[in-house]
Amino acid sequence: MNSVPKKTKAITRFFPAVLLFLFATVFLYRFTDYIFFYQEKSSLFQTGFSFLQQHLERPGGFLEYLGKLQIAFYYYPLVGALIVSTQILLIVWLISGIGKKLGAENFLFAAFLMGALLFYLQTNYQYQAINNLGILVQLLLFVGLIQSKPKSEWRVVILLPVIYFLFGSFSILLLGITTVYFLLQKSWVKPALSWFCFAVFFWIGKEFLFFYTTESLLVFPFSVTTIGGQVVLFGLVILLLLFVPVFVRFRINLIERIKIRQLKLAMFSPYLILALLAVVAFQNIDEKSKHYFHAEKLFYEQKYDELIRYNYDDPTNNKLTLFLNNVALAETGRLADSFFKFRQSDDGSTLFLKWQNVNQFIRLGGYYYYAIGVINEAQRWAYEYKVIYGYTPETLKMLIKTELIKGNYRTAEKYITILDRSLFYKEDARNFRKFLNDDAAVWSDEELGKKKQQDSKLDFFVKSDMPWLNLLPVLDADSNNPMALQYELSWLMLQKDMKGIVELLPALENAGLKKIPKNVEEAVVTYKLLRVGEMPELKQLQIDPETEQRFQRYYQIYQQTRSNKRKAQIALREFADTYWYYVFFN
Amino acid sequence: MSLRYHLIYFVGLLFLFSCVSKPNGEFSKNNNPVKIYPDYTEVIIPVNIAPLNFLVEEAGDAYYLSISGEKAGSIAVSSRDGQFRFSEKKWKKLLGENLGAKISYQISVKKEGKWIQYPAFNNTVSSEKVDPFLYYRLLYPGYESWTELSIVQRSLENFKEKTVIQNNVVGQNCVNCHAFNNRNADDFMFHMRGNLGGTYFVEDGDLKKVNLKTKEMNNGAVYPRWHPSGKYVAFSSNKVVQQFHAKENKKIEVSDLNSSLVLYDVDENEIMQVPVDSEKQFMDTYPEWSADGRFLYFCRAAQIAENYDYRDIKYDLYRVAFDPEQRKFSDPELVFNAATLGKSVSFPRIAPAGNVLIFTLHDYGCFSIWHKEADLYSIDLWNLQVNKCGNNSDFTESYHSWSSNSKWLVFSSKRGDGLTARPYISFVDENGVTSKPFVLPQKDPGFYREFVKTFNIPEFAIKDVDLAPGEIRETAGKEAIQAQWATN
Repeated sequence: MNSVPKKTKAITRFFPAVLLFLFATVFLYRFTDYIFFYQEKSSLFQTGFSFLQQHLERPGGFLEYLGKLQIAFYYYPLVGALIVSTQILLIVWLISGIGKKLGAENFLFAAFLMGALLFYLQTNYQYQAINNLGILVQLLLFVGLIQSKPKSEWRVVILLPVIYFLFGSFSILLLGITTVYFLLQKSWVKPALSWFCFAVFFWIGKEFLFFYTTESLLVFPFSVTTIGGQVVLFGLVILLLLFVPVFVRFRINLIERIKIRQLKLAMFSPYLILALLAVVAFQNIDEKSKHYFHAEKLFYEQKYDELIRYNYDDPTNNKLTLFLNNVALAETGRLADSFFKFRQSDDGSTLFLKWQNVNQFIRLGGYYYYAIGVINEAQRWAYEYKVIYGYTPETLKMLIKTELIKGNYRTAEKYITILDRSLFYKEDARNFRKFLNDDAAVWSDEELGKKKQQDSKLDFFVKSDMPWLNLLPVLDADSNNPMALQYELSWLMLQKDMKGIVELLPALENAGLKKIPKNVEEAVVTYKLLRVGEMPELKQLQIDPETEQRFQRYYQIYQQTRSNKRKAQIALREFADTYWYYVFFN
Repeated sequence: MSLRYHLIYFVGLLFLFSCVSKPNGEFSKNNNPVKIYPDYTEVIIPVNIAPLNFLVEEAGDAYYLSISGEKAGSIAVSSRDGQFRFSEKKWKKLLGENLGAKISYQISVKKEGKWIQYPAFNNTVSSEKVDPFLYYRLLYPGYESWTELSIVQRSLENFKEKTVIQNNVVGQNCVNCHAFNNRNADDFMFHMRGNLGGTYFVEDGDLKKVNLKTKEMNNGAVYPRWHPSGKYVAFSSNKVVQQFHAKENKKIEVSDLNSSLVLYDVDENEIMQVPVDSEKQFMDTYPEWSADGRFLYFCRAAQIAENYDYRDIKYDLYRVAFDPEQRKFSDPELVFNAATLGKSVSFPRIAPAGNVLIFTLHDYGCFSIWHKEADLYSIDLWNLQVNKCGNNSDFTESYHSWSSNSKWLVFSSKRGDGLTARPYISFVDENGVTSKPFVLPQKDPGFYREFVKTFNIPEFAIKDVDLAPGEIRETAGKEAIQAQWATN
């Protein structure tokens, strides 16, 4: 007699739960690990009391603190996937438990539905840890409430201000669900007092304690950005959660009654939900973001060759990816050589990022300045990012590197101390610490020494809204700066300024180049063969005759097909990575 | 239960004390001075200052400090990590017992089981009290972005700190330029920029928002100074630009494209031009009133032309006589010609006693906080003799303010790390000579090593400002009272 219910329980509860956990873990780790990369690189959790203290200055700050702690573990995507999956499973288990406690033996449909919705929300890379964490804690507290004796229920009423202080707007979920619960029990006093306590504390906090806007005191730490803009879906989940006690009491009889053999359909609903979830989740994989974040990961790891190869094998139109790719090309000395192997924007937006208050722009724009050796400006972008968005591992590393390059060791030490307080960057902090007060160590380091050597020799005011204008003063001070030369040549190619390119050839010679970079040579050949102007006298650099032959062939095909642009483009496809192709078809 | 609790407490204390070691007779001497952080050696301190907690920068297994007063009293503290934090009660008692006398610090460090005693150093306890409060703005020493800005009140007699205004209360509008009338928090003002912008005045505990900019003004009111009567506030009205250096360590260049002086009549709600530059040949900024309110001092540079070099902008110190009853100004006169020295003046600040003016001198421009070479200089206002202050360092010394008894000067200095400004306090004698400064003491002696924000515009005050967030929010949400333009 007993074996059947046990077996049924295993089939209807245990297996779906295991399946959900496994599916969520594998899916998040295998297909959407970019979520963890993005979030981990967007914040920095610090150990120590002062970091916690900073988060206790406003209601909801503690939840934000916990969220950052969770995100720190995303450093290992598998750990991130396990944490998120466990949280979702716990939420399902809690909802199911609430159902059971309130009288519904089988409350799996609603529990799995909400779990599935939360999982779907999580597949958006912007959906932050605070959301599931906030929901989980509020459900835990609600379970604590319904499992306690009626007299102890008053504790929630009394503790609501504390819960609001710790978890901010998420405490409204608890307030709402307890209100529904009490009302169903025909108790008016407890919900009324709960709301009263909440309102009084909120008013005191707003008027006398917290220097934040009324709106942010109500809403924080929730924000539309931290749920990835999925307002409707998230709102739906919250509504469903709020009315869980109602759903328990008024279950949909139709679903309850449908039976297959001896088993109710409702008991198998988790499988249906899981199957649906699998279909929807795979459709929700954001391939563009996945590509971009993988490129960004390779960039931060300074795996420039791999990044270039990745973008070559899987071409992209994403300007930020192309910007990073161009920095990688410059750092490996191939920018002017392989520039047109990748899509480029004629306005320079794949080469430079103009200053604008957009998260990714400020976060990455400084790498161009770092590449060409305008260290102050690279530092400024990282600093401004920190001021607006807070510390992140990579901006902190950039601040440390630039301070070390500038010899500002005391400030560098402060940043290293902060990095040392992170959970998973202590090794980096240790490595950076070796450079403190040791100019010789900085000079002899491959990266820092090179940048210190390149650091602007001439002072000028940086024009961050027209980044290309900063190249000339850098080259005026040091015409041998190879990075700046590559960027200037690339910018001139984008501008189709053949004269400017040809005028830079002596500088290329002085910089010690043995061979003219491929795309530059194409521009020079065009200039020469079309007799646009005088060629400068070169001592060492020579034009490869093969490039001239290639141009002749290109020009011939072009002449034959130029009446039909589309036809010409197809005919000239083999020249797609050339300067000529860019000039004629862009 | 109570007995058990007390027993545990007693055993705990016993354990704690048994762990603390101190030299018991035998020790060797080291003649090199021990380095402490912050450097509080040989400084003059006010009798009412909070404990000067510090840490010893010498590796050791245990530390022992004995502070003995020249007249009376002593404190003995042991430490395992070299940090010394003093009991406020004992500290106050020791200082109170040694007015006008020295207190001597004797440090011993235990290394490899042996105690080493280092040469003692002293502090002189001045009977001249410092004003009980210090106000400053805390912000990242950044460039053009901001998120969190707060004006903070810190008690100088203990470590209590409280937020007076935080910009988050009004959605991250910028708050700046807090200013008191005679260091009195009853007359207090600050600017707020952004969509809830305006100049906020605290008058008898009430907060009001005023829009000082009228259609007759090209630029808004910026740097304020209260007239000693509290009836007027002089402002400079500046058009400011900021640019970013590619190479220099100063990073940012803030300069004025044009500026002039305006006078706001608080009672009449009227604002008028200070008529010192009818031809608009100059850029006038940083107003400062003489102690009697009969002169308005200010910094003046030639109006820049179109293709100017920012390094050529040099400000001199001027003053103009003022009749507060008639609200009339005379002709301006030169007080200190910095340009002939190839230098530039900013932040003139006159002691309440009226005898000394201290200003910041730097190579060019008017935004000295990013100038490493910026130093403080004093002018004896009776004979106009200029002297370099003794409290300067190789790093920036910039904004400064006087205590109400003219005996203490607080100023921003970047000597700690070259980037973040910290408030340093110097004693000023009757001749205007400044003593070696000490940094604002903190409960955690290592505080400044890790704190990444900068202390901006340190101002002494004798009273507590008590603004509730709700009050600020309510005032910010109201329509600003529009100041009226006046010709006299």
